[in-house]
Amino acid sequence: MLRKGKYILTILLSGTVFYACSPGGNNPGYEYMPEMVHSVAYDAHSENPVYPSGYTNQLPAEGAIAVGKYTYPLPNTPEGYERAATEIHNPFDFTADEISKDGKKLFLRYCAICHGEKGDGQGHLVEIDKFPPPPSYFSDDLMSKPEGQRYHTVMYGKGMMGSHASQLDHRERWLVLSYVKSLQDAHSGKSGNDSETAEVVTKN
Amino acid sequence: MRMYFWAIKVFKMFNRGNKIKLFAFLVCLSFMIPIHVFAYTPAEIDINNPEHQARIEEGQKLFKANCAACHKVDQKLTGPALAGVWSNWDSQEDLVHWVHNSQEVIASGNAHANKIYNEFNKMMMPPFGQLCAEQVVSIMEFYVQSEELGLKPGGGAAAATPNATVSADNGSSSNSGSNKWILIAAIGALALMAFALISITSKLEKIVDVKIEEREAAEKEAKKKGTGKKIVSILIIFGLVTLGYTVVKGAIDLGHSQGYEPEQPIKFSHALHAGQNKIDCQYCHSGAEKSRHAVIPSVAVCMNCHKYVQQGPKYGKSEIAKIYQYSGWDPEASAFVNAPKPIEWVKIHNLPDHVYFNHSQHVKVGGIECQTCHGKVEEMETVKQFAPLSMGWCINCHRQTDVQFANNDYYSIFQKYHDEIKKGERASVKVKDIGGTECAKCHY
Repeated sequence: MLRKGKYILTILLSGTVFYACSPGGNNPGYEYMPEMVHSVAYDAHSENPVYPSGYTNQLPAEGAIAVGKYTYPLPNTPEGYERAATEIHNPFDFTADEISKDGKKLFLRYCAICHGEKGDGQGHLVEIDKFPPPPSYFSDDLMSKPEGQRYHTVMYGKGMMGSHASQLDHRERWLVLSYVKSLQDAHSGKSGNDSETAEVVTKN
Repeated sequence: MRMYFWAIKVFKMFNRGNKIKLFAFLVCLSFMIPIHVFAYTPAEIDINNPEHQARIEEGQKLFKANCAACHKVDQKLTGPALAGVWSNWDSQEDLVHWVHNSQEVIASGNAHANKIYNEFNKMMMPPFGQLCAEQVVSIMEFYVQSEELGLKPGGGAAAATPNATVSADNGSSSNSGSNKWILIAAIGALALMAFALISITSKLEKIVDVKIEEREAAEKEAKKKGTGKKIVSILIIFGLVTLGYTVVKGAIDLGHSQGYEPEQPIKFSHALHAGQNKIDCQYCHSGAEKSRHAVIPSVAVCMNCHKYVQQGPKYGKSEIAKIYQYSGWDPEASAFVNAPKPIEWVKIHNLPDHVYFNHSQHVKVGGIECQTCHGKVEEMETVKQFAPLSMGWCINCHRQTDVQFANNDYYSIFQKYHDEIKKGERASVKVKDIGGTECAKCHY
């Protein structure tokens, strides 16, 4: 006699339970077979009881250089900045296509937010008054800045600019700098000469 | 000039008869004389004087264009705060000289110039020869003083600051709240209905127990009586279907955390950073193109901007102060003083361990927008899991999505497909055509 009632009760209860399990807010919901879901090995970014520091992401031992990776030789000091002018040079030979495509993409992503899409120091954050304006790439000081010091700046930051070494790797840093150089070349071509020669300069 | 003010102060103290204070003052004075006796007094500003207003405005413009990258009036940045700058210099000429060529002033042995130079780790202030002396005075005396004293000429300056405090969370939380109440009400209604059903069925069972003849008679009678029983049975079927649907759907969704929106240790707003400020997703999640992980940015990336930005539009200083705690930054000293510790962000998008997913494959090779899988994060105040991340969801996308074959070196190896596209035999290549639905692609 009570059998049917029991069936209905079971369905009702499981319905309620499943509603209650549905995720939202701080509740991620329930899972079945958790041993297939959670990694036995420690995931990147996860806590780690093995290391004394307590986290899985570890810095390489001091002085270690990963195969194929580049280590910047100069320290983050005024002397290092001075030395960068003569000691650091672009080892890559980028094609015009790489610079105008990939370089531009990186520039718009990492630099233009402050330096402006044109490089005039009027990026979106400057326009909405959230961040002070960086100097224009076309100021006399920056036009003549040696490439090594530019790299040093991307590496360690300068003034209000922070280090972008964690976001850009060695090749990308030079690629972005090459794009900046191309912006400056185009600019000096435009302002320094009449329009006819300017075209020649930008094409080159 | 300054001596004159002091003289008045000393005179007043005499009048009050406060001898101890006077003595202390004189002792202090005796220490201060060698340093500060030459500090000069800036021009007095009359805010109603149109000439002065013009100079304040000129100073403000020049400050923004030349100085703001490193200086603030009330806060130490790359360079010192400019408030009261004149009290450090012997004369206006020295200050102007410093701005024009700081190296020369340092070389000349000026005590304050050397002190500042050493205090800021021998970082050189670049020469600003293009500013004439009068412009430097406009900045240093008129603009800086007006900021310090809170004088605003006309109101033009106030209008120039953009209204950036738009709160982006109108009603999203109340919305989810009302959903919850609807759910609770629905569950309540279902419970009531089920209770009614149980009592009805038990009554029906009782009737079954009655002798067959009686039951038949009763049925006949019920039929005669009308449609009451029919309605009940329709209700029963409807209730069962609804409950069955709930059970099945709940069981399917079990383990999928769609809608998961946990509280984070810092109330970081993507709506503000990615939405209003238009910072590219990959500025912070810079691993998305390069590695399996999109990467949670290190605190150093936060500090790229937040060394300067110390106050947010919604929570003021409290949330940004947490970044300083984690990174060990002391905003007063403008230096990292404490040991940094990691921020324990709560991971939202969790794939089971038996599934392999690679961000760079999707973002770099496939050219998929972040929003395709993560939703409009740039509109989310707190991030919420947008997609179910179920296998059906993955496979569905792999079946329907065209691979970006054109001008993509990554797929140059698929010669047959390239030939077919050239000949016009094939319109597009789906992900499943290149093995996107094979088990071992993701499970290995």
